[in-house]
Amino acid sequence: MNVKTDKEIINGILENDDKTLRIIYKKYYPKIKIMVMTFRNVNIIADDIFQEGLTRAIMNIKAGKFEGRSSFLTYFSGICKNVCLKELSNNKYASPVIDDIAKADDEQQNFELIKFVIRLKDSMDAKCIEIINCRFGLDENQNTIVEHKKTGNVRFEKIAKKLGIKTDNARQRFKRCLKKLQQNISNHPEFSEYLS
Amino acid sequence: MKNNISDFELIEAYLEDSLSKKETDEFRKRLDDDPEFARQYELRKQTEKLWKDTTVYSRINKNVKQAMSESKKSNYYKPYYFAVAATIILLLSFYIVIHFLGEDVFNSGSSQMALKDSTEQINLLEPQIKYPDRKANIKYINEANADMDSIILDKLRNEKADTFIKFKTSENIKIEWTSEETGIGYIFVYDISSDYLLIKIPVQLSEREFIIQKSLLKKGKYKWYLFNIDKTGYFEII
Repeated sequence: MNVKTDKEIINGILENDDKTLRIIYKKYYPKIKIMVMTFRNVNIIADDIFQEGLTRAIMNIKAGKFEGRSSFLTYFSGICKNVCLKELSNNKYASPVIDDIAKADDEQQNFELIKFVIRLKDSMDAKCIEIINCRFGLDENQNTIVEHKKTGNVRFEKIAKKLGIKTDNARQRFKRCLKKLQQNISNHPEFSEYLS
Repeated sequence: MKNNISDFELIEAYLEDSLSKKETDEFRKRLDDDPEFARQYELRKQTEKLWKDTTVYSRINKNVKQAMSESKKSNYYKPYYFAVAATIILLLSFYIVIHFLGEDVFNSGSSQMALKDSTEQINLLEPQIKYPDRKANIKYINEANADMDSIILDKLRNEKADTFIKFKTSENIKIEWTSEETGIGYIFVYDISSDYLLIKIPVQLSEREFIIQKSLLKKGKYKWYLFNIDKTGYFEII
């Protein structure tokens, strides 16, 4: 598929087409790089901004948050600009003015919270990650999400069988790990916003 | 309702669809009547959603990284680059052969021009972009282009500005030009009040416009210059 129009790009993203990602890179990376370079005095790497910005754009498109009121490039470069502004506001040398802009233009809903949970996962016990993934129907090794009818949660009997443990042990392990996870994420300032 | 089990177990039983119809109805009624129970249920659901979002984010991020890496790799091995490299080697060989034969053909005006043009072309293919240190007007330019940037700074500094196009801080600044030229040009933006050359950006001349994103520049008056098609303009951010 030779992706050219915005509509084809959006369809390619929705169909998880890898070729579309490569075309987006070839078509838009130079423009994003130029945009990133307009941020003075801070060392921001265009590759990092592009990767983060495109990930966020794809998440939003898949969640139906892209309404097509602007072109894909305008939308995507707006997200990248917000990522840059966030970087600037995190930089201790950034001016207070830039910090205000970053707050005002922040459209990155919950992405900071998602990145926080990714960091949290890195420090979590492997068995906890395994049991939570099993319960939520996720197979992280294959990077696929197993669909379950109705609730999407896998019964503890099945999990116990898969892991070779008793059903009650599976339930207790999940309870312990979930509580620990909830305790940690409840401390994040964006989580109350996420809950609402 | 299973009275002897904890709220945790009850919520989990509901989420794995193991409650009877009657128990499910009671569960939903309790969600309406008991705010604390409803809060626990919401926390459980949102934790699951966040965990799944995190998995999706990681997967997409990994795919994007891989696509970027593959695109870069395919760029490195484009036959075009081999053709350019071969041409350069041929030109160099040609120059060396003629030099050693003692035939100084490069003394002729047209040949000198041709060599100069090809050198500039190579420089433009790899634009050097850096930004000024606040302590000095120009402290960022590679040696090869230093003179050009100084000349442009002097030109912009001394040029009389007439009409300033006004932009609000909330607007993107659109720089437009008309030209049949194609290839790479450079846009320079000069801040009149601070006397700094703020931006030096390579642009595709065929695009006929360049957008400076809103909020990047402070309020004030600016001049811009598009190098190699000699266009100048002025704008003010109010």
